[in-house]
Amino acid sequence: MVTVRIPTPLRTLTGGKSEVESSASDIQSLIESLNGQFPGLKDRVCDDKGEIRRFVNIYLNEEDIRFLKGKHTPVKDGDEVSIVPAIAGGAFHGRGPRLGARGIPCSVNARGRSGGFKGRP
Amino acid sequence: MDFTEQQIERYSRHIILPDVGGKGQKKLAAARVLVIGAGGLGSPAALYLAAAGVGTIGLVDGDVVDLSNLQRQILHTTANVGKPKVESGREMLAAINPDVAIKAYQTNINAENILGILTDYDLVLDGSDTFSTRYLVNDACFFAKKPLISGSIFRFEGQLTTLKPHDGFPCYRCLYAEPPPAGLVPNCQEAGVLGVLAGTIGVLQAAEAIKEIVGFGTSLAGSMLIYDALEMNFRKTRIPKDPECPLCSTRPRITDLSGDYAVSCGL
Repeated sequence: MVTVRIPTPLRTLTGGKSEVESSASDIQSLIESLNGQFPGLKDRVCDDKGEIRRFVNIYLNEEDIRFLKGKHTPVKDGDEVSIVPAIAGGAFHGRGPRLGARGIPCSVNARGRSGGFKGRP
Repeated sequence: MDFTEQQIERYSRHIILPDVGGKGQKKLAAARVLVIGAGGLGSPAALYLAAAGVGTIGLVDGDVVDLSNLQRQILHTTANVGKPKVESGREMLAAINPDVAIKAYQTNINAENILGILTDYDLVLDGSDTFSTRYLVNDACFFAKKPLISGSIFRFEGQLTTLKPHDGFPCYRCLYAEPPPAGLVPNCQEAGVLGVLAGTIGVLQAAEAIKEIVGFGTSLAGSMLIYDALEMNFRKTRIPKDPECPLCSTRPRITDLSGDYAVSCGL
């Protein structure tokens, strides 16, 4: 079995589990089989074309699969696969959620008035 | 420069470390470190850098202290709610170590001001909270040839790496080619964070900075440390330099900061 490490943002899909197991033979089939167990996981990891999203890294043991064989990278018994999305938090501001209503985008233009790490609408 | 008796006493626990010594402590005294974001990560990082005797610390933040910051932003006190964070931070750092010159920039970092600010520093800590700032800081540090210690946190998880693309190591774009599109990662909205996680990652950023300045130990350049506070484990992954990197490869598409660093989030 392959151990798959699930990052915090995706644990809502795995019922809070930080580690799940898979018997898949490569990364692509691993994602498919996980999606069967935890519907919606594939959408978070892959784009519409089934390619791994550019802000999500998948590591086979310590190595980034982009520099191995991508989604065709084989996995074997005892391997550890980690899904690691980019996270941006650090200075978090303070007045609670910064977006008022659901669906209102907050555009941050580095050159504009609201540039910088504010990210306010 | 020579240390006074008081300074020798203050830094004695460093000076007796063979890897630091008087020489290393002098390097710290001569060092100029810019801390971007005086928040969750910048607070513990700046506190330890000041305590360690880093000669000049720049703090950049355009925000004021809010009561909800105090759960993790330990540069600030209840009495300073409503004050600019950089002023509150300056007070605290000066109280810890009057040897440190503190420069406060009460502004949000952007493509217009970043290169001018970076000129006065040797090393940068990124503790910002949006992807747009992270990519901007990465690109600017590459152009200005400044090592960048990048930390980020989300709920119970933290990531840490040292980026030195000008020295043959990968940059943030080698690690994450593109920022997430709207709605996929709740970076623009407070998703909640374990307060002490900010401390853990911020202090590790300070540790990397001190190692980088003094020149001992193994740098995180080329690796990323991932910390999971729920499982209480640390893992390290390798980050290769991306031969197709739009910034630091031999065929760059990004050659200045004129690009659009806009990131939108529609949560």
